[in-house]
Amino acid sequence: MDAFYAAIEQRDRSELRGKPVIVGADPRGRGVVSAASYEARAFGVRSAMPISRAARLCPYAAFLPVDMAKYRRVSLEVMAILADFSPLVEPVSVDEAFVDLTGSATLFGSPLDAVRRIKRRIRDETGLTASAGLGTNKFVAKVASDLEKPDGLVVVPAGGEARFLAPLPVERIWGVGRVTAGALRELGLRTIGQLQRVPRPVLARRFGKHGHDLHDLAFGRDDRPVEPFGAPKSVGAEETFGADTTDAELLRRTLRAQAERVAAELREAGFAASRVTLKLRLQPFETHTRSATGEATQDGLELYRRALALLERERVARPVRLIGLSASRLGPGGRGQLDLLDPTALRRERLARVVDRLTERFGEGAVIPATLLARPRREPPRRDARGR
Amino acid sequence: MEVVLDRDQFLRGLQMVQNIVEPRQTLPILANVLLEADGEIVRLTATDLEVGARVSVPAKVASKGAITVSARKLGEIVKELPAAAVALKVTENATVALRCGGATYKLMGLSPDDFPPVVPASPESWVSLEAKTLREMLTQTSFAVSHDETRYALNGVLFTLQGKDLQMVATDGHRLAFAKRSLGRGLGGVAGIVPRKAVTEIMRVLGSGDDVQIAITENQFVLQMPNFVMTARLIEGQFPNYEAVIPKAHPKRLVMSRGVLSAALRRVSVMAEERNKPVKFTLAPASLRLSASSQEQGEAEEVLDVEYAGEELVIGFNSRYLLDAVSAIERDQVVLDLKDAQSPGVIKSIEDEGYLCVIMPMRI
Repeated sequence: MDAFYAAIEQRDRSELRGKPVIVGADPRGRGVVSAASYEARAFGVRSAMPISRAARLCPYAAFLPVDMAKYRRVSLEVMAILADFSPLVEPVSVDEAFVDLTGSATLFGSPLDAVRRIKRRIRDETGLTASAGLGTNKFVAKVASDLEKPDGLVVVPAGGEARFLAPLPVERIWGVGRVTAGALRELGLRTIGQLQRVPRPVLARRFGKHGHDLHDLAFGRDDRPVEPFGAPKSVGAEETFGADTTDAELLRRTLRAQAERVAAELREAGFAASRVTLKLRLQPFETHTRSATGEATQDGLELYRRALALLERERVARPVRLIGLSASRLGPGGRGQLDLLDPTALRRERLARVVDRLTERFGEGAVIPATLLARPRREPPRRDARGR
Repeated sequence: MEVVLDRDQFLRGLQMVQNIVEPRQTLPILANVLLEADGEIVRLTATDLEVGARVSVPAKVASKGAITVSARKLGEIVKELPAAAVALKVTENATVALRCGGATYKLMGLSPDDFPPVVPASPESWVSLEAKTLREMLTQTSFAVSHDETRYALNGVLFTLQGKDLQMVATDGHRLAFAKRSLGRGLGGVAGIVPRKAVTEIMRVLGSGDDVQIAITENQFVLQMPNFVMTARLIEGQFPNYEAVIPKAHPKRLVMSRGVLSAALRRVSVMAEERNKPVKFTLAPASLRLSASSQEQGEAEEVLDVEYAGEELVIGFNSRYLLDAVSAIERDQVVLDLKDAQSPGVIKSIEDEGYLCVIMPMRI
């Protein structure tokens, strides 16, 4: 989908159409941009950029908070349209999906006809535009879909993959980030075409297993199947602080609240997670992640305890800019090994069921752990007015 | 230092201490074993700063002294030597010349002055017991020690000397193993968590016949045998209140043959999901049905005749936990006491063997 969050806001609020719209954190704060309309992108605003930078680049943009519930609803509408064209739909994120049209050709004419009809239906039914790439595999289709945004449609004919990729920069290849791109640049390789001329063994020697992937992807070879929607891979929450902090109590409380949110989301989806990952961004902008694997859980306190153990092992000495918790390795909830030394685990489970029902009825935050109640701030030491 | 040792005795001594040396060390000298010659013995000492061991090997001492050399290299060499006299001589620059038969070696050593001292505490009193008893109790508990480094208080066996009893407890949060023996005399009241590494080493070096002496001081566990001493720094931290975890009385009792149960568990668990090996127990009067299934592989089921008069009950267990628990039992008849599908089961011998294992069920 093109500038998905921003496009939805522009659709719903006619006064924003044609204007730069930035969806994300508070522009006076320190969060990041979640989405920018094409009008805002003209100013150099990009998603994942610090929101303060976006505010400097484009001070007159409309800054809107993220309304995830709304975007999810629209996402479901879009995914439902895709599902009408193929049973093999793999959502990659809320606004991106792979569709395997191999078996759909006879029903909808050629794959290209099917793609045109998908784009038309998305526009007619949701008022939004989507960009599509049509190719013989996921990698090529993904690269193609990115080339002519917005409202693009790029077709890569079978057999034309290598020629199509050749002029593109190596960064277009999956798994080529800053580090690999830098290493390739050192070898004088900037485009995928240059990479195609490097023999496979040379890449394998330099990059190991990844070298083989580089070679295959450079020629547009990718045999990964389109995997229809199964479980989400992870559930997470993170927060950028208003000011970098070393306050251990604040870090713990933030983590505790995040654990409750993640646990509630896990329970809602019927999942339990066996891996907990703690994410820390330290001053100046250094990101650390630490993970621990244990019994699958969907309990907020348990997630918190595991994340806290990771935090304590980190011995954070520098101010923290961002803290986050995510739960992964998801499986069905309400199963697995029970804990012998945690006598309240089963009671907490019953409690969580009640809390979930109350939340459903009275809204988020209706019931929270007492440790998260706002507490009266401690008075600063008072100075004697007479200077004694 | 100049000594001559018997190769077999030297090797046995080295083997008693060399596992203390960690494959990777924080200090180079911790890769070494300390050799000290004095009187008519050579003392071999190894330590990783947490656990230390020292053994005395008889030797002809021509001149006394000390040196440290790589424990791994020395072990590899002595293992391959013929059964003959081994001559060791410290030459200049902390080098050791080793000679046995026609083979000669020159080993680079490090000064003994830098070797961290292994100092056994001098406890007020020792507890002496048969090596066999100590080994039995450790076998009955060590399998339940946690490998989760974040729960460090569980990374060892809790030893408790109380009244006339020696008790050992280990738990990983899913199961708890408990062993208790009366030593027949007052022992005072001390407790300490002995780290897993020390437990493993004790079980490795314990002979069958001798009496051993143990002691727990404020921060150290000490084991003494003739010509041998091991020290271990106790794990600091709060061991969970295990007495609260052991159910006092469960209403449903299942009695069956240990051999039959473990053989059936092994057969059925072949089809259980790999990570937790869950097996479902379906209890009905006089019968126990074990079943397991995995989405990819299929399923298995086996019905056993058992003594059981209670209500029907379905409960799941990690079959590995049950097999571990059962294998620590000596007699053939075992009992499994249960309450409901969410309460821990207790497995033990039908006659009191001073052993039980509490296992928390799985939800399947």
